[in-house]
Amino acid sequence: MAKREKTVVIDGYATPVSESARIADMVPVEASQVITREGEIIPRSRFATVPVPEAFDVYLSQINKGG
Amino acid sequence: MNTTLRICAALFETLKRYHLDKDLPVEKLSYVFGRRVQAGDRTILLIPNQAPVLFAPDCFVHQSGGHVSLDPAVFNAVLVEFAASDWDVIVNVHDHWFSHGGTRFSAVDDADDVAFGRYLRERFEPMLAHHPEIGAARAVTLAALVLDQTGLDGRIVSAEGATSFLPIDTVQVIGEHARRMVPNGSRTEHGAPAAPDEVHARHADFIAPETVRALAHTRIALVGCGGLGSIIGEGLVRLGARCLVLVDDDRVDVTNLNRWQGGRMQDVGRHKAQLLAERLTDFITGAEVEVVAGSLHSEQARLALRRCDLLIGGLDNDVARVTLNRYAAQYLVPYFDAGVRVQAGPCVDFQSRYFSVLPGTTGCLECTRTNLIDREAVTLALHDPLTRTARKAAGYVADAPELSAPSVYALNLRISSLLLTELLNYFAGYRRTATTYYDSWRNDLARRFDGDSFEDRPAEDCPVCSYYHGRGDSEPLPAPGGDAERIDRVLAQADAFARDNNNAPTAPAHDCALCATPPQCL
Repeated sequence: MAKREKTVVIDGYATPVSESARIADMVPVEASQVITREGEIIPRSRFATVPVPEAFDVYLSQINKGG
Repeated sequence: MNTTLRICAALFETLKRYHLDKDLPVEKLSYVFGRRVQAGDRTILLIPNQAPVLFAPDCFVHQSGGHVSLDPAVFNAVLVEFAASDWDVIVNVHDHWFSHGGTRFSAVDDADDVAFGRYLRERFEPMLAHHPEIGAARAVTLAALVLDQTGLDGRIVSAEGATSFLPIDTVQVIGEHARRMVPNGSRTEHGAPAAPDEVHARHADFIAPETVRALAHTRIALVGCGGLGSIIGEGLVRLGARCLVLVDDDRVDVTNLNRWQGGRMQDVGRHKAQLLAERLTDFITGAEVEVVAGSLHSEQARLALRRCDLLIGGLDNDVARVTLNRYAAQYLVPYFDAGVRVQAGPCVDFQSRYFSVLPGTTGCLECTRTNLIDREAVTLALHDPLTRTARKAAGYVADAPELSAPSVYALNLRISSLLLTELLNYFAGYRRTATTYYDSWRNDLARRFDGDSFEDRPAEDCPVCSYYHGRGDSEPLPAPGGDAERIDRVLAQADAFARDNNNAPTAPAHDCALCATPPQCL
C-alpha cells in the first residue's frame, strides 16, 4: 500500500512528508550545526577540560527537553 | 504568595537570540544562574548579567525540531562549576521555537525537572554538606523557563514534593524600559489589560492600558517623604501607581510647611510617611500603601524594600542615595532619584538634578561619568566608629556644622514633575530613558542625557556594577557607622587569638610612627 503523504511548507518550499510526520521528524539534525551567531557558544571540548573533583556525585541521567 | 523572576535585559536578549532564531529550527537548551531572595511570601529569583551557558551542537546527544538531549558528561562539567560558584539558583532554559504563544512545559520537561530536582535534594546538596572542598554547602533552587516566539512559561521545581511545581507569576526584564511578562502558567494576572477607569480617562490617549496596568502592579518604594517625596507620592498615585512603600523617619516640622505638599499646621509633629500614606489612600481608592516610619537603614525598611520592584529617592543626603544605589544593584531594581539645590547669595540660582540607575544597563552612582555625590562625605559617614576616630585624630576629618539647606516649593515641583515624566517614559517607552538631567535657572541651562546623547554604561571595574550586581541578600547593604556587629566580631576574634597565644594586646610603642600623635598639618 502506498504511503500517504501530505505537503507542508518549510522555509518557503512545498515539501512532501508522511501524513504522520511530526515537527521533530521534519528537521534534520544537521540544521543545528550553525548555532554560532551571537553570545559565546561553548563547544564540547571546553567542558571536557573541567576536572571532576573526587567525591563529586555525578548526575548520570541525560537531560531531556521536548516540545 | 507570589513568585517573580527578575532578569537583566542584555542576558534575556542573548537567550532569545540563541533559542528563537527562526533560521535554526531546532530546540536548544541553555543554563543561567542566579540567587534567591525570600521576601515574606514573595519569592524573587535574581538573574543578573552573566555569560550564560550556551551549548554548541556537539554538546547534545540529540537535537531536533521538537527534542533536545544534553550529553551527561557536558552537564556534569556544568554542575562541577556551579558547585564551586556562589550561585544558589540554577535555571534551565529551553524553547518551543515553533510556538507563537501559549507554550507550556511538556510531560518530557516535567519528568526531567522532577528527576533532576530529586538529584539536587538527595545527592547534590548532601554532597556539598559533606565536601566543602567541592563547593559551599547551600540549598539550591531549580527553576525552568521555556521560551516561545512571543512569550514564555516558567516555574520553580518545589523542594517540598517531588512532583510539585511552583509557577513563576511574573518575569521582570530589567533594562532601559519596564518590561513585565506574565508566564503562561502564572497563577494570577491573566487577561486583557483593564479598560481605563474614569480617574485615568484623560490619560488614556497616550498612556496605554498596558502601561497603567504595569505601573499598578509595580511595588514602588518611595524613600524620603519630605518636600520632594510628598509631591512625587501624589504624582505616582495620580499616574496609576497602586502599590507603594513609604520610608521616612522624620516628622513634619513647622519649617516644612513651605513645601510639604498638602501639609497643614495641625500636621506638625506627625510622621511624614504616615501622613503621606493617609493622604494618598484618601484620594484614590484601592491604593495599597505600606509605611516605614523609621530609618532607611532599619531592619523594617530593609525587609520592606526587598519586596519592592522599583525605588524612588526623594532624599536630601548622599548616604541614603549610596544605600539605594547598592540596593538597586544587589536586587536588580531600577532606581530613580531627584535632588534640588538653591544657591543663595547675591546671584540666586535654582538647580535641579535627576538621575536613574537601571542595573545592568546604565552606570550607577559609583561609576557614572557625571559627578553626582559628595564621595568624601559618604565615605566618612560609612566608616565604622574606630576608623572615623582614627581618621579624625590623623587630621583627615574636619567637623562641619550641619546647615539647613534652603528649600523652595516651586523648585521641588519642577524636579518632581520631571522625575514623574521620566518614570512614565520608563514604563511607556516613548523614547530612550534619561540617565541624567540637570538644570540651572541662573545659567539658562537644561540638559537631558540618555543613551543617544551620552552613553553611560556600567563600568567593568565598578565594584557596585560588577561585584554587587545581583548579589541579593548575600552581601550587607551600606550602613552609617559601619557594620558594628562585624567590627565587634573581629575585635573579639583578635582578643581570642591573643588569649590563645598567651599574648596580651600590646600597648602602643612610643617610637611607633603610626601610634604616635599624628602631625597637625598633613
